[in-house]
Amino acid sequence: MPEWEDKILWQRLKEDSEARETFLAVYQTFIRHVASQVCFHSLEWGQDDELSEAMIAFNEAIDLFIIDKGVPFLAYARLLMKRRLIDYYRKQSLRQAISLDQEDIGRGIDIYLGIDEFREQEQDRERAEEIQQFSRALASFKLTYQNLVEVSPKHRDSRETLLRAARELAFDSELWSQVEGSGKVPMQALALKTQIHPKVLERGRKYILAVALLMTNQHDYVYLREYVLTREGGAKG
Amino acid sequence: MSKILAVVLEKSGSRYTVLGRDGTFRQVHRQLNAEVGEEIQIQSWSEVFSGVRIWAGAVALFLVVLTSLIGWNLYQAPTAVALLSVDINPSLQFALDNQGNLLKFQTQNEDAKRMLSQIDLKGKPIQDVIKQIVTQAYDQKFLSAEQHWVVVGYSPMTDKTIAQMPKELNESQIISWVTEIGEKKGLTPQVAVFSLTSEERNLAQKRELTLGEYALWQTADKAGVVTQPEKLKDTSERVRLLEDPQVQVQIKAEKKKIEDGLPRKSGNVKQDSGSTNKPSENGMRKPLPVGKQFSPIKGQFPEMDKSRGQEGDQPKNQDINNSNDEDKQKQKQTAKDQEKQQNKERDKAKNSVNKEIERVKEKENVYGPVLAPIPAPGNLRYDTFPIYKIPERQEDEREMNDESGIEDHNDVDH
Repeated sequence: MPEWEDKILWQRLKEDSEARETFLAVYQTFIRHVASQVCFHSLEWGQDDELSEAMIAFNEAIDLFIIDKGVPFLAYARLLMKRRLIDYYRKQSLRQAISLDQEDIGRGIDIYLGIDEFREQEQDRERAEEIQQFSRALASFKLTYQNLVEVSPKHRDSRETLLRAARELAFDSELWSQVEGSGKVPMQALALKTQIHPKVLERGRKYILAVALLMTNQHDYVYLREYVLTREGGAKG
Repeated sequence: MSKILAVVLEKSGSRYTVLGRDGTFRQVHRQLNAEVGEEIQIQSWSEVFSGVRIWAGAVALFLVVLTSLIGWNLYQAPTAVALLSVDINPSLQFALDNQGNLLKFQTQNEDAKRMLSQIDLKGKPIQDVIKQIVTQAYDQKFLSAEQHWVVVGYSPMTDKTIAQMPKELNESQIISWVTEIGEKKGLTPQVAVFSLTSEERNLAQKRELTLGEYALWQTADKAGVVTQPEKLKDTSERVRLLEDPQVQVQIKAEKKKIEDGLPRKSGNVKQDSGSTNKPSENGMRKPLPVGKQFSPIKGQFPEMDKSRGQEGDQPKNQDINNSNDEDKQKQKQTAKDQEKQQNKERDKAKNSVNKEIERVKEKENVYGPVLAPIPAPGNLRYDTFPIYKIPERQEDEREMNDESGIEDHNDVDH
């Protein structure tokens, strides 16, 4: 579980308004990302009301979230934001926007969604969406799940080594821009940065790339990234 | 069972591709009817590995036990039970198994190494080993008319291996093997055979001497001939000692002790049953005497023959080997005439034997080498008699004494 989902932190977020402000500021990017996905166009702070609606939903999510339920906060917040935006569009009679989320058209949208009601079924559906998205992202690097099964490290030590390398790659903007530009992992630079032997990195190249994809696209893979983020590494941003 | 959550990434046939909470992409058997995106429980790798580890451990343990058993059996088979040394100039010492096969060489000097480079003796029976060594010694001029001594020593590896020692490892057998080769080569080697105990073997090893060298040194020491043990490595020194009159006297004395003592040892056993006529079969080799024995072969060493107990004092018996059969015939012819006289002498002989038995009882440890000159071929049969066959010897003595008129107890008193 990411470190920011620590119980003490959540208690502070709920009680300390300053901490909550900081938290909201940090997650502005995520809020805009989700809102833009729902609206299918780019949104700007101070110009679009959708972002304000999304921010309100995100703030509510902080109040309603219970860490013990074992649900990722961002997944829960994302669902709340989506529902609120759909409701917003419905109120504005913006049919064009509503039609983009066909699943929610037929039923009444209740923007209030308690954490207990955040059922497994919905989580599974969201996860499945992430998996499809991840599959497409892997395909752009000519990778498949089967490839990842073959190269996935079985021993804990080697797995932790490669996860560390993936984290360094994902959160180093310079290195990751090289990955996005060339479609390849900059092995030498990564070896220098991580001090891991190039042969080890080369053996785990596909695994590092796939895991780095999940880590770096934190707004897209709110579920899947939890499978590869260790507590020591934590989530950044 | 430790299980972890994993999300189903892909369904293919009867398998799921999943991403586990430990960050591994794996394929697992399909469970119920999970859809893509659902979380399922799977075994952690550590659990899988621990299962494999248990099986691997069990298999490894089984293999170790199996290998140990096989190894132990293989190891047991070729255990060295005896040590044999041959000193000509090539000096070598080797271990034998209970089948009498050569296991390994323990020590060897430069000449021996050179000689062994031309022949492979490992695993061969003792008979072949000795014959090949002597043959090579002849061929390489180590044995010649000038240097005709072959010193052989043998001992059990430990006290526990005495019973396992090969049967063919005895003085007469060794002498016959050496002389057989000598005859073929047209020379008559002189063989000194020593039997040592395991304690003496240890002492010899401590002094870095072969068994034969150690036994010879001990004999010389008893004779008052001072020599350095390390000099025994030198062939000329060994020959000097073997041909030294004092050493020969000591050898004679010790030989006499054995001849006098050992028969009485067996006689002790037989005395209870009232019979001293049966030869002691076991007396030949086992149990090994406490001291070393030095087995003679008569004919090649007249001085020794003279001194061999009571026979040595009988002029008529100097050439025992040739006249033995004739003497027996004469004895039979005159047996009836001398029956009364024999009965008297037998009584005296019994008395003297009994006295000697008592004396030997007092001397628990009979310890004495006996010099063994190599016989002429004609004498071989007699000379290969086991030196412990006392009853026969006594019979011979009586027969000889019948002629010479000298009583046994005179000899015993020496």
